[in-house]
Amino acid sequence: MSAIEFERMRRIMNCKNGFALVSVLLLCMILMIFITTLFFKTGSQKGTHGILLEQTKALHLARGVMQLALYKFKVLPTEFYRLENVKKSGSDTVFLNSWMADFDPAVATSPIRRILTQVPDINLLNYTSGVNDFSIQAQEDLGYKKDFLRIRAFGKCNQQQKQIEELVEVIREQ
Amino acid sequence: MLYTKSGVTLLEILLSLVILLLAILPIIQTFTQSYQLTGRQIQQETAVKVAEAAINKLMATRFDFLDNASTPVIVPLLLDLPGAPGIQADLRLEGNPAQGTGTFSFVNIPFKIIVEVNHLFKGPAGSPNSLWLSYAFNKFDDVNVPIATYVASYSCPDSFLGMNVRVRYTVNNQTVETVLNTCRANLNL
Repeated sequence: MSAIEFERMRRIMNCKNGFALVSVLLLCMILMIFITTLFFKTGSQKGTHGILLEQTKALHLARGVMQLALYKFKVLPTEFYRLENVKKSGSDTVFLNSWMADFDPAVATSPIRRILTQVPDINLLNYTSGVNDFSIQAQEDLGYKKDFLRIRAFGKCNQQQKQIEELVEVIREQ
Repeated sequence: MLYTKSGVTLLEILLSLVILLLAILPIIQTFTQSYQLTGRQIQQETAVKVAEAAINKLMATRFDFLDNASTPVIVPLLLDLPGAPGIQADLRLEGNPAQGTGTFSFVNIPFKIIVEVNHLFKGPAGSPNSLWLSYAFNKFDDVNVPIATYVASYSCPDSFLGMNVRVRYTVNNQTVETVLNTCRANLNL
């Protein structure tokens, strides 16, 4: 590289013309990145409320089904214990086909199906609900015996599912 | 640049300002949108929380008030909302089954709570619309005899209610409604 060429390069490198423009462009780029991040962050928050609302709807649907389950036990305790005894002896089929059928939305005549069809926004959202577990948990030790009825109900609204469990102390009269 | 006398040209400054303005405008727009979204979310969240509070209150209310409020009943409802604790939004229930409303204001927006109670299973025991509960029936009525896979049904009177709570408010001439649904059984039989 000749001395003249070197001098020309040095002048170009030291030239400060257009410095403000470069700075502003750089600042703009940083701001654009900031906006894009902010925009996507704000956008992702949009669906949050919808999810929370669906979770709340699912939870209250499950609570309603829990009421049905408790009511059924309240009016048919003897029948439940007899079926529970059959279940303990190794046959789940009778219990599932009879007692649990009321909590199966697939059964056209089940009360739970009626509950689901009367949900106000059933045409807008996809609802389902049921009872997973309906059993007796016995606690027995020296001097005492306690029975607890364990019911696990669930509600589902679109993709959001909520499950609730109740443990109710019950008295088994022989 | 500090040691030169030429400085920054007017054209450069103007161009820089235009570019900066172009970059700042979307930021302002994004912030405005974000602010509006936050405001909307606060209103929606309030509506959901109030609907939940109303449902919880109705679940703890006497069953006969919901089943048949021929004489109007006031169900006290006290709401604790962010920054506004102790808002009174009592529900006035009336009718058979009960229908009711309650009102309150939050962040200068009037909210209306609408309670709809309905008999999911109507009619006397044994009628097609009453609540039928199924169970396996042992024909021989003997616990030692295996229960046949025969399913019998038991029908109940109207002791099971459906409940809808709607929370309605209007913003910018647009009415928004949040609805929650649950059921209530008479467990004090």
